[in-house]
Amino acid sequence: MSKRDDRHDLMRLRLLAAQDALSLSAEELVREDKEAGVDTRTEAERWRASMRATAAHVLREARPVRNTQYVPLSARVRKRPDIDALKALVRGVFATRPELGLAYRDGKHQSDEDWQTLYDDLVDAGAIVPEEHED
Amino acid sequence: MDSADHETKRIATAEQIRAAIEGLTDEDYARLRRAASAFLYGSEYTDPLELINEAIVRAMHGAGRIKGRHWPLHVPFVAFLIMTMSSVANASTESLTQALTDSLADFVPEGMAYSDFAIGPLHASSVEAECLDEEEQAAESARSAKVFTDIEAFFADDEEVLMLVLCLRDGQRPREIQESAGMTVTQYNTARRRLRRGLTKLGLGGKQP
Repeated sequence: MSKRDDRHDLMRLRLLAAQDALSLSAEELVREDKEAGVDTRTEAERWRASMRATAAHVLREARPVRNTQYVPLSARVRKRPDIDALKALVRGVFATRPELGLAYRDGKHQSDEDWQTLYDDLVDAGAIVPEEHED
Repeated sequence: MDSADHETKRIATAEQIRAAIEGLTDEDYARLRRAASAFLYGSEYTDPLELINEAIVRAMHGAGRIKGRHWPLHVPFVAFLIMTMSSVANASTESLTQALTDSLADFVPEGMAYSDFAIGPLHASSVEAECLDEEEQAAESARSAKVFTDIEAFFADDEEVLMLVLCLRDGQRPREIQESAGMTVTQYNTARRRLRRGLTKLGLGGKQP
C-alpha cells in the first residue's frame, strides 16, 4: 500500500462516515444525542450562533478600506450660502425629512459654526445639494 | 450555455450563505456535528465547531468570487458544508492531487456530482506542491499511515468494520464492499455507523460530539 493510497483512503473513509451522518433520521439523531447526554436543540443553537458570528466576521473583514484620497463633498463646496440662508436650508431639510432629526441637537442654541458643520454633514449625507445653493 | 445550465451553475452570495445558516434545522446541525466529529481524527482540528467554522470561512470567501469555495445553489447546503469540511480536514492532513479525487464520486451524497465539490482551491497549487519540503511530505505520509494503523487497532475486535475498512483500502466502492464482504444492506449500514462512531471517539479523544 503506497503512502499516497493511505491519504486517499483516509479521505474515502471520512466520506463513508459522512454518508452515515446524512442517513440518520430525525428520531435517530435525537436518540443518539440523548444517549450521549447532548441536547439536540441547545447544540443546534450553539452551532448556529457560532456559524452566524463567523460569517459576520468574514463580511466585516472583507469591507473595502476607505480611500485615503477621498475628499468629502462638503470640503469640495466652493462657498457656503450666507448663514441665514444656510439655517433656512437646514431647517427645511428637517421639516421635510424628520428621520434626520436624530442628528440634530437643539437648533436654538447652535453657534454659526455648529450650523455650518451641520450643513456640511447634510451635504455629505446627500440631503442638501450644494450646487443649488452656492453663490 | 442554455438557461437550465446557467441555473445549475449559480453560485451563492454571502447573503444567501448567511440566510442558509439561519434556515438549517436542529437535525441539520446534528448531522453536521456528526460529520465534523468524524473528520477530526488525523487532521489538525480537535473541535468539530472549529472545522465547521473553517468551512464557513471558505464558503464566505468564495461567495460571488472566482476564487474560494463556491456553494452551487442546486446543491443542498448541508451536503456542501460536509464536503467542504471533508476537504478542509483532508488538506489539513496532507496535500492531495486532484487526480486522486476522481474515484471519490461514489462517496458523494446521492444525486450530486463530485465536480460540485472540486477541492482544487483548498489545496496547494502544483507549483507550491512541488516546492513542499521532502521532509514535510514524509511526515505527512507517516501521519496518514499512523492514522490507519490506529483505526485498524481500534476496530480490531469488530470484524465487520474491519472488513469494511480493508475493502475500502483495497480500492472497492461502497456497493462492491457490501458484496465482497457478504453483508446485507442492514449489516453494511450498521457497520458504517460503528465506523463513524469509532472515528468520532478517536477524533474527540473520549469527549462527547
